[in-house]
Amino acid sequence: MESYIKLRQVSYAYPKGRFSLHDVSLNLNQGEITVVKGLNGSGKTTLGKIIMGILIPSTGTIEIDGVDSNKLKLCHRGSKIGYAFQNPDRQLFTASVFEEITFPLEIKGMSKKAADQKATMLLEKFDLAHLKQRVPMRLSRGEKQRLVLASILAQEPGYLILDEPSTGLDRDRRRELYDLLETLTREGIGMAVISHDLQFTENYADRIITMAEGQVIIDGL
Amino acid sequence: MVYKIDPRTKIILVLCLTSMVLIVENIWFVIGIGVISVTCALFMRVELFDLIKRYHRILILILTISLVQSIFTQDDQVLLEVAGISILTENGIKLGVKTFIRMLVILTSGMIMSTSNYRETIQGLIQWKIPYKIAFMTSLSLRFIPIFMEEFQDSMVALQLKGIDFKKIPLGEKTRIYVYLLTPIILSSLKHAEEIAIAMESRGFGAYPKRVEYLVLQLKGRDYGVMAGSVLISIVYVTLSLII
Repeated sequence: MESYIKLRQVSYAYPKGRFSLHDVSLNLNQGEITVVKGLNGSGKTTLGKIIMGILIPSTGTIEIDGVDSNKLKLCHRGSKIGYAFQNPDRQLFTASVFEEITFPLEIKGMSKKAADQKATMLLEKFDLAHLKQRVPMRLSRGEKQRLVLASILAQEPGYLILDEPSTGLDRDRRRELYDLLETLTREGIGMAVISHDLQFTENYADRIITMAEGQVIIDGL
Repeated sequence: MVYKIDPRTKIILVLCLTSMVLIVENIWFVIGIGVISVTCALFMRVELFDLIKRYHRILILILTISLVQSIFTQDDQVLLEVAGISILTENGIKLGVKTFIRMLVILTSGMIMSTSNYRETIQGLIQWKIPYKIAFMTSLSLRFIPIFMEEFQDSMVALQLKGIDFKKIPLGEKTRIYVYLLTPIILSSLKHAEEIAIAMESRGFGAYPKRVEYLVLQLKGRDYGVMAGSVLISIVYVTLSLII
């Protein structure tokens, strides 16, 4: 299987000099769920942010879909990799659920008709069609997570990085979200899920990466 | 150490700087205030270069606003004209520069205040006989400036990750984007306010009419010096700018 994301000896140090990632080399593949786990402060979120280009690595190289990540601006990375923040509120901008999906598409030049069609399709897929006129900020946490995922998938990325997507969800809502993620994986999208949830790790992970003190200490299942 | 001055001294300094920059109209005097405020910030150990790196997008936003103001100000001294329409005028450039420096001074003032421990700032205000509730709210609002800046940056990143290239979108769409950008920041500030109110009430904030203080601030000689110097320099500066 051809790897979608390749990290080679990537390190990152925070401005105060404390290392958060140290010499990480990884390949992340499409069509599989990779769970990234570890204690708080082990470097999981930093790893996600580095792949997305939100943080710039101190050393090492990253290749995304065969392209050196240095050549990709944030907006281009967003079209290749979808990133869900730990807090979905940070990714919701508009006054309606429907507009949340259509506005980036329209700004990027898609016709209104095509954007509307795509949004309708995605809202149905994510069971949000009945909420399309609602204000995103007023949705429940689970609905917000699904909306964020739908708006990310509208960009048609090849890979997803989800930072603790099940935080704040009850058991049933977690299962619904996990089933949805599994469906997406079956459709060919790969994903790295930063998670502490043992149920998700045991039942859904194709691969588990365990991190400690900024290093990958176990990579397997 | 200069950066360890009393928070009340910093309030006076910041009030002088912001008042001066709003009163003074002469461009060279405005630039002078900009230089003074940056110098003060450096003395207070504000890490300016780190600040520029972290908040360069906000600075670009301020610069854009200044540029728009510069373009839309009409004057007889036209410097750049396209198809008979004056794009840049001498007066417009002056106004743009003034707007930029005024915003910069306000930003720097916030940073100067953030170098003080917020508990000390509240105490300073209380010792000035300002009611505790008002003092606490004022101090809290100053403390939130860096948090809002961080949230603004996060929102910018989140928008770009939606595939939006800020450099390539037309001006009309840019306005729409900025509205989108402000929405989560306003909502999160309301949410912060609500959460803080609940947290404060659950800790018995305002339960007793009288408070006793453990921390009591004492103004030192250098504080009086900086306060008097700030007020005097401000009066002289403003008077000179009005005369010249």
